[in-house]
Amino acid sequence: MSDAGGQHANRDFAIDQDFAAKLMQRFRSEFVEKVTLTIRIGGAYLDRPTEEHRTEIQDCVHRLAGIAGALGRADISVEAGKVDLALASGAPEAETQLASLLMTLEAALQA
Amino acid sequence: MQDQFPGKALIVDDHPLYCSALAVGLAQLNPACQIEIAGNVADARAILARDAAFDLVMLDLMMPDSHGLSVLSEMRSKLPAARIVIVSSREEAGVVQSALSMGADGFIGKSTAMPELVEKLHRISVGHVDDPVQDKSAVGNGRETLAGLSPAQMRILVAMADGRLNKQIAHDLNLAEPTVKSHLSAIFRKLGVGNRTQAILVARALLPPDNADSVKSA
Repeated sequence: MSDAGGQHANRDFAIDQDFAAKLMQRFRSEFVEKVTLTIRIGGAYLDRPTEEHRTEIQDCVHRLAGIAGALGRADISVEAGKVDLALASGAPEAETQLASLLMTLEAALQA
Repeated sequence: MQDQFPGKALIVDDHPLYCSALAVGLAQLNPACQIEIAGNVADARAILARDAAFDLVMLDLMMPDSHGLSVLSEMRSKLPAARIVIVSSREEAGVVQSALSMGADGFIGKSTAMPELVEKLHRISVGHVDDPVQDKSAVGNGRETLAGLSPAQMRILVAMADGRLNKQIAHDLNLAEPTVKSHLSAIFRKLGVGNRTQAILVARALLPPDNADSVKSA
């Protein structure tokens, strides 16, 4: 890496140990809303896999992959990322992977 | 020079919730950090046109109006001293290699928990490189990716990296041009890249020296 930006002074930085929990607490309602939306749209796509529903669910899982990891659910982020790629590439296993993701999300809501 | 990093950060990401979480994360590094958020590349360009005093850019690869890699070099030239960190849910070795080859200071997957992301940014800020190119496992994964190419695909990748056009490759390898195009699509998919240029960058980073010589001469 270039050192063009020079060395910065916050060397004594120490992250708040409760940061992860606080972050999830702060964004929990938005996260639950996103999970719930993904379950609903994913279910609609599996019932009726139209192009319109595919576009909707791909956007949902892409966004979920983006935020879940940041809030400490790397498992959901990785699984959603795989579904995103499978849907984007038209892979035949996309629907199976999506069904599995929806089960994971249902479990997450129960937890 | 800012005493605290980041002094001023630009987040370029079309996911508002992720931006909000990232802003909270950056405040862990520097509570006084000024943060601007752009939901697309056009907004990012507009922000940079009026103010280029950022020392950190967090750039998503998948933007609605552009692929992040296509604006990475533009950002780098506008902000030569800033740390530019790619955040993406595409974490394949090929994508990482492309981003770093094009001037990113770091690459952080979106499956990364925010506390870990903040730690990575801190390491980047003090010069402890969080550089997957130097990470043997990342390079190893990249080489495994190359190993996933068929012999024909590997020959086409090397020829392409050597500057050969599809028509020339088809002639050299005694293939129909549509067959070459079909192989190229498969190569891009396997390398996790979106176009020919990115595939060549990956080839430069990963091909063995005897092949890399021909790549460099391209």
